[in-house]
Amino acid sequence: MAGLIEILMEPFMVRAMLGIVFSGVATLPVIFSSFRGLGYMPAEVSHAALAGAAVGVFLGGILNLGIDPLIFALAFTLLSTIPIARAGERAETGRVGVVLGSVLALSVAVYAFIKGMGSSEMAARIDGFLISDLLLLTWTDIALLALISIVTLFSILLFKKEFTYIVFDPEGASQLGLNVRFYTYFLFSLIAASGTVVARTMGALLVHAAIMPPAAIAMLLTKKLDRMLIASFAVALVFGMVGLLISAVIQLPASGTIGLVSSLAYMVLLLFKSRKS
Amino acid sequence: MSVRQANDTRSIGAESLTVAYDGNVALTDVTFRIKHPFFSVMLGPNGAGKSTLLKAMLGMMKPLKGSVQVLGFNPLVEQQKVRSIVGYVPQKERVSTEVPLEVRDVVEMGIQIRKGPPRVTTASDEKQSKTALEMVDSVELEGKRFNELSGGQQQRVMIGRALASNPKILFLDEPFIGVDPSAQRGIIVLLEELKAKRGISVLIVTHDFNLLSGHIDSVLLLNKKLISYGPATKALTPQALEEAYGPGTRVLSFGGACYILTGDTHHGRSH
Repeated sequence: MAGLIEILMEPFMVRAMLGIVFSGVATLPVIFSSFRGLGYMPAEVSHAALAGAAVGVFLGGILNLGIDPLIFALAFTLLSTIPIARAGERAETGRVGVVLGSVLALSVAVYAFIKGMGSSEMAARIDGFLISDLLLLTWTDIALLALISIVTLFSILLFKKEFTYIVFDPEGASQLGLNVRFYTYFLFSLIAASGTVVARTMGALLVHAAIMPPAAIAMLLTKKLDRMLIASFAVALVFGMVGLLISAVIQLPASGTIGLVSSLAYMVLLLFKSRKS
Repeated sequence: MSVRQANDTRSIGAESLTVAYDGNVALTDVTFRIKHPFFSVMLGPNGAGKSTLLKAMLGMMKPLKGSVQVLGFNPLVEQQKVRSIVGYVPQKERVSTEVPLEVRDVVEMGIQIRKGPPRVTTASDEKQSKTALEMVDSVELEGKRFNELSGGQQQRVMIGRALASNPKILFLDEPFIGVDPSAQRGIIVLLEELKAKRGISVLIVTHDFNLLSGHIDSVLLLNKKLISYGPATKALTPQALEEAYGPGTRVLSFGGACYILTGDTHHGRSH
């Protein structure tokens, strides 16, 4: 036990645990996008984070800008939300899907192009956003991720009603006087920011596995929105910690193990629920 | 009645209204005026521009040409005023039943949005939403989840939401889709009472005119333009119906009301 506590107190483990907390916050906007059938959106926009990180690493290497690639990743995901939100304003999931696919294709092209142009050290840094590892987070990462997560958390707490109204009935909300366009862009920006957070903590490849299961489990566990948001965060936290411990014990990559644990938990719960009904 | 009374505060209407949707002209040169309080229906085939006209009257769509007046207000210039006097019930399919809202949350939405941030629910809001639910005979549904209600109950709750801010006019876009026949009749009776007892005007966009025949006092018949308007017996002439729906459309008068028969009527059957 003392040995385990000692490991948990190691700075890299503390940073990994903080990364799990931030990933938990990132599941909150997903609840709202799921109501509109856009639960897959964070995973798709996280590929824009990958392209942004590639540009950031490349420019940082060539021009020595001294700007963290995470800033570029965030900027790219936020930019990608403009065409997505335009399509999403009318709640047309088909059109949103096409735009998301285009963002993904463009991002992968930029990522591959820049990776091919840069040095092997650059390529390794870029790949840190594709298959990231919680144990490799730096304090600079933690500071930036904390900032994004705090903004996300307070935005959800302050504008929960507005986000609920725009996903429930955008047309009615607009007629009643709500600025549906503003709140759609706002919500999609939070989703994009969350995609960036998880791309950094778990890797762009694992965004879906990291944030969809907690949100989906929360939606299975309760039918009240407030409880759903709390449950989503709690589930992400618990399975994140469990996955981290398992990975430490049996020497597996932390991010992948967390994604696997959450997904398995979701499948078990789904099986349990279907048998019960 | 003249349509040039631009500031008529006792009617709604449009003058030479042309509206485009997604780059295509959806309605051309629409001119009409209906006196408040009214119980009217907007009729026409798919793509006739019914919802477009409704949205133009709500200020949600900008006309290419012409203007709209709602009790003396221009929705584009005085959108806030029009919002305060018009309650809107959108098509059911545009409302997400995935969102886990209780009935009281849905009705309070009609009050909270008008208040502006931080939208804290007060005791007065709760009372107001309860009154709105009483108006639609649905107080017992207050604590139930909206997505677990029947189609008819959901529609009553949405009307309750529209009534929560004490509007003078209700606009309803296809309110009978997904609602069983007995609940449809219940909603019509409710809307009739709102007009008779509270003086609230009702304008319904629907495909199913026959359901409302005998209850309404005027019809707007559209197909990319306004074909006719006025009392159903005058507006729904065979020529007007043929212009709207194509050949084969008949109108049957019975007991002071008229009914539309579409499709093949040669063998005693119709749709």
